[in-house]
Amino acid sequence: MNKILVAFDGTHFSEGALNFIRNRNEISKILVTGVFLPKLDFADLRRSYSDGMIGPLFIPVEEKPDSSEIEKNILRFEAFCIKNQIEFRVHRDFENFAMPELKKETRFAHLLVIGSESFYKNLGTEEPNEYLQDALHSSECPVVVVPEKYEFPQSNILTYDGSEASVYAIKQFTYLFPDMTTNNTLLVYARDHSDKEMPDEIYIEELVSRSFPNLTIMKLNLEPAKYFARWLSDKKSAMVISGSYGRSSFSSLFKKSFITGVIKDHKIPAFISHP
Amino acid sequence: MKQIIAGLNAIDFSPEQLIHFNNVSNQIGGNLVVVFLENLVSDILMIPRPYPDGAYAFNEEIDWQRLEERKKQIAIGMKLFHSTCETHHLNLLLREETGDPVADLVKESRFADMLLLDSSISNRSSLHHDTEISVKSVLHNAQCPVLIIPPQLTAIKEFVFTYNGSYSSMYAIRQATQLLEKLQPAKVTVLYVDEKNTGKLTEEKLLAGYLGAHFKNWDLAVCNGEPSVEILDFLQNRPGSLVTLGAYGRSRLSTFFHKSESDKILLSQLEYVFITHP
Repeated sequence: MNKILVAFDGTHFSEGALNFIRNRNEISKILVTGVFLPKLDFADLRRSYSDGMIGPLFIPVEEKPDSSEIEKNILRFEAFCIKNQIEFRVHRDFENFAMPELKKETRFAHLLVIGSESFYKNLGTEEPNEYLQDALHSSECPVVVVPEKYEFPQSNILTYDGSEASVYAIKQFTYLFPDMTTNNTLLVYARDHSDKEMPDEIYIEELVSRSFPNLTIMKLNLEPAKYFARWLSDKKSAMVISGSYGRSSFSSLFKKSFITGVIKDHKIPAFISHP
Repeated sequence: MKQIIAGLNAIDFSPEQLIHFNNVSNQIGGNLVVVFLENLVSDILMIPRPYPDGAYAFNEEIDWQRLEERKKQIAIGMKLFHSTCETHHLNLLLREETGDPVADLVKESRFADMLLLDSSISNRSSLHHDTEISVKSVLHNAQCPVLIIPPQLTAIKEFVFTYNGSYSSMYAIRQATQLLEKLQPAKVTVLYVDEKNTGKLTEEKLLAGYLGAHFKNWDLAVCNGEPSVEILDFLQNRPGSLVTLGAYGRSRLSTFFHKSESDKILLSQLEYVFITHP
C-alpha cells in the first residue's frame, strides 16, 4: 500500500488533487495523508527580510492563522476520504516554516500530490507560483502536479534527454504506477540540437520496453522550453513524466524548464521526480 | 518487469554465481541481464613501463601476452556461461563490456532497476592489482540500488532496515520496500542507531506511518555506539537477513555512515546488503 501525501495550504483546497487521489485508491488501496500547511503572509516577508534577501522559502507563517478556515478544509478532506473509503491521516501541527515541514513529510512518503492552481495561490499570480516550484525542488519523494480540471490520464508521455534525472523519473513512475504502464506510452526525446542522436538509445529502449508494452519512441527536433508545451496541445488525457526540478542551480532555472508549459498551458498532470 | 543487471567477472566466471543471481532476480520479479566484464581496455592502459621513473605507459610486448592470456580465460568463461544457460534453461540477455569495468557498470546502472554484485568480485577481477573492479567505486557512482549478494546462498527471511532519521537511510528503506515487495520476508526489523544517544527515535510517528502502510508487523531494535560495530553485531546471529544501508551518497550530507564503516559491513560478507543513495 502506497502512502500518498496531499498538500493544502491554509486556506486553499484542491478538488483536482483529491480527484486524483480517489482514482488511485480505486485502482489500488492507498493511505493518504492530508498535510495542512499554515497560511503565509506577504506582509511578514517585507518586515522580516527588508535586507534584500529574496526567495519565498523564508516567508514566515502568519502569526494568527485563520484556524476556522483550516478546520473547515480538514473537515472537507475527512468527509471526502470517508465517502470514498480511503484510509487517511491528517497532519496539521506545524509551528515552523511551511516548506521545511512539507519536506520532512515527503521523506516518509511515496508520492506527493499538489494542485497546481490552488497551492498558495495568494502568493502570486504566476502559475506555477514560486511556492509550488519550491515544493517540487525540495521534495524528497516524487510529485504529481494536477490541475483543477483534467481528464484522468489514459496515456503516458515519457520525456527523455539522456540525463540521469530523466531515466530516474521513468523508473520511479513504473514503481508507483504499475497499472498505468500498460497505457499507450510515448517516449519523447527532445533536444535543441536536431542533428544529435538519441543518447544511449539501445539502453533506454531496452529498459522502457520491459515496463511499457505499448511503447512508441519519438525524436522531436525542437527546443523543449519553447515548443514542447505547444506540441502537447493535442495530447489530452496524458500524464507527462519528467526528471526536471533537480536541486542543482542549473536545473532550478524553472522558467527554462519545459515542464512549466505543461503545467501552465495544457492543464495535464505531470509526474516529476529527481535523484 | 524489472530490469536487473548482474555484473559478472568474465575471467573467473562461476556457474554457481550465475544461478544464484538468476534465482535472486526471479524472486524480485526481474529480467536478468548479465554484463560480462572483460576489462580489456584498462589493462592496455595500465601496464607499468619497466623504467625507474615509475611512470605508467603502454607497453606492447608485455600487454600482448597479458591480453592473450585474458582473452583465453574470457573464451573459457563464455563457453561455460552458454553451457550453464543451456543446462539450466536460463534465457538471459548477455552483454560484453570490454572497457573500464567501473564505468561500464555505472552506465548500465542508469538504465537498470537494480544491480546485483558479488561482494568478492574485486578479488577475482584482474590479472594484476591495478585494474581490479572496485565495488566501492561502483557503489559510489551507481545510479540504481545495488544488492550485494553473499557467497553462501541463503533464503531471505528478514529485512533489517538501518535507520538514523536521515534522508539517505529513509530513501534506502523506501527503495527496498518498492523494489523488493515480492520477497515478503517473515520478519521486518528497524535497527535504529542512536548515534547521538538521544534515547528517542527520530520522527517515530512518520516512520511508523510509512512502515504501517507496508508491513503488518515490524520490530524496533535500538543500539548505541559505533554504527558498523553495532550493525555487524546485530547481524551475527541472523542468517538470511537483507540489510539496507543509505550510505555511499554522493554528497556528504546524505552519507549515513562514514565510508569506512560501511566497508566493514560489506567486507564481512555476512548477509545481503542493499545500498542506495538519493
